[in-house]
Amino acid sequence: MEGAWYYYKYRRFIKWLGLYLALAGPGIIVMIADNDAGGITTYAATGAKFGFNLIWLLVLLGPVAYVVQEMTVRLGAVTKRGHAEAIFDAFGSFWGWFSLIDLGFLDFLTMVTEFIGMTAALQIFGVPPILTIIGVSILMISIFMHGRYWTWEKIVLLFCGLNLIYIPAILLIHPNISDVTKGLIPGIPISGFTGDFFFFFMANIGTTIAPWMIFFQQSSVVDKGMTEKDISFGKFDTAVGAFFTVVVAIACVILTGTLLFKPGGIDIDSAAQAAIAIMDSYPIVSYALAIGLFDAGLLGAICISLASSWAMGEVFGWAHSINNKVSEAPMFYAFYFLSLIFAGIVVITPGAPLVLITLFVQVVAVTLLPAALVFLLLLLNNEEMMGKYKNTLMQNIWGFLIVFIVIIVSTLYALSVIFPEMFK
Amino acid sequence: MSVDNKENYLETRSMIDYVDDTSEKGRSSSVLKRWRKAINNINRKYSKPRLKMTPLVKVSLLALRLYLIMLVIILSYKFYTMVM
Repeated sequence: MEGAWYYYKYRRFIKWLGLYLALAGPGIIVMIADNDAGGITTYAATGAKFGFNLIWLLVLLGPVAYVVQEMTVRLGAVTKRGHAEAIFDAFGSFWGWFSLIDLGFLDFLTMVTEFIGMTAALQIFGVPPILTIIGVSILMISIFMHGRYWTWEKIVLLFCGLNLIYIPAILLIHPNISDVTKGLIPGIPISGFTGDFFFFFMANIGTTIAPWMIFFQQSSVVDKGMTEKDISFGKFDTAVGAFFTVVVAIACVILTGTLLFKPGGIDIDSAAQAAIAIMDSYPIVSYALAIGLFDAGLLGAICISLASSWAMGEVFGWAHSINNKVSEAPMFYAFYFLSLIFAGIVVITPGAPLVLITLFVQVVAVTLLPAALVFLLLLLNNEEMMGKYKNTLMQNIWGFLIVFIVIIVSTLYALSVIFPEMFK
Repeated sequence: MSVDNKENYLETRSMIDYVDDTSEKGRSSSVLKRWRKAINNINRKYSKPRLKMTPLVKVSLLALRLYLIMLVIILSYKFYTMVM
């Protein structure tokens, strides 16, 4: 009798797993792509500067990202609309245009930073930037040529798997487990609550939620055709993605914290610089760091350009599904291809202000992030639109608290970029 | 103008318009017209917000406006001090 019960449970689990694997994708992709080239650079710089002292913060940021992204799953599955269209519909054309134009501008600048990360990563292998740009453009275009969401998603999930390269890399460097464990306990470094510490604290929170993530996941849920009954799978998918994004972030901090950190900390400007710094002593780990950086930039570029293209398609009424072939959705694909080609051209243009663009991204992000988050919360509280899937009291308490903190910290981070002496 | 003549006239007129539009200037103005039309349609479609303007929504939108104005002032100040 007991055997039959276990068999029944086993069969149910297998059925559930099959369903989950069919519906898995948007949550994992958006969360792992959150660790884009800028994110990996932030984690690498954090490890080099503060060792393992900020690992606890990364652990806390997983649930923060989950709370925000889970709302996009419900909103997309219930309304069957992307975030851009939902903003136009609910708040009118003023806020709609503001969000769409700001998103397009911000995504383009962020794409440029992803290309900067990819070219820097492949330069470690001796690949010239122009070849990287051409190769990446061909790769990104060919991913979409199948005209099937399923195929696109599975290819991108493979790239997400490559992002876990930091985990085997850690096994090669034998970090001090006791020190890593200490890093899990919230606290501040021995050097105290300095301006540098606050800057890195803000930078790590700032990389957790980006406006494109909200637009991307909601549109992705809609394009995948998820409905109300799939919400629990979508939530689980997002939780799995949040888990892996934290694991990758911590792995990156452990890498540079073990290999580069010295008392007082060292400053690095990019993950590529960290990879070069450890090349002589740990060449395999250095290559792993470079491959991870390239992959992070690629995932970021794929998702960011798609977030803009989906948003444009929703608002202008173009056919905008990855299930459409290029001939069926020409404007959607044209916008996607042109944005990535122009971003690539900016990176290889001699004298282009790439450092300024990298800094400016943070500033432009805070013009859109508060609006996107506030709209998300307001939409999730609309009973007419969401029905029984509207936010519960508990979800609202966490949602409003997290949105408030993210807005304050992101704004302070942007201000520290505009006025570098502010927190010194 | 007879019906036949009128039809001929309209056909000729539309052909002239078509030829005009296929010239370089015509093509670009036609693209601009299409975009303008699309934007006007979007503005018309979403002219009234669907969300009920409860006090929470009103306060949130006001706070967003003030936040954005503050950012514009800060950025303008930074730009002014950089230029000066």
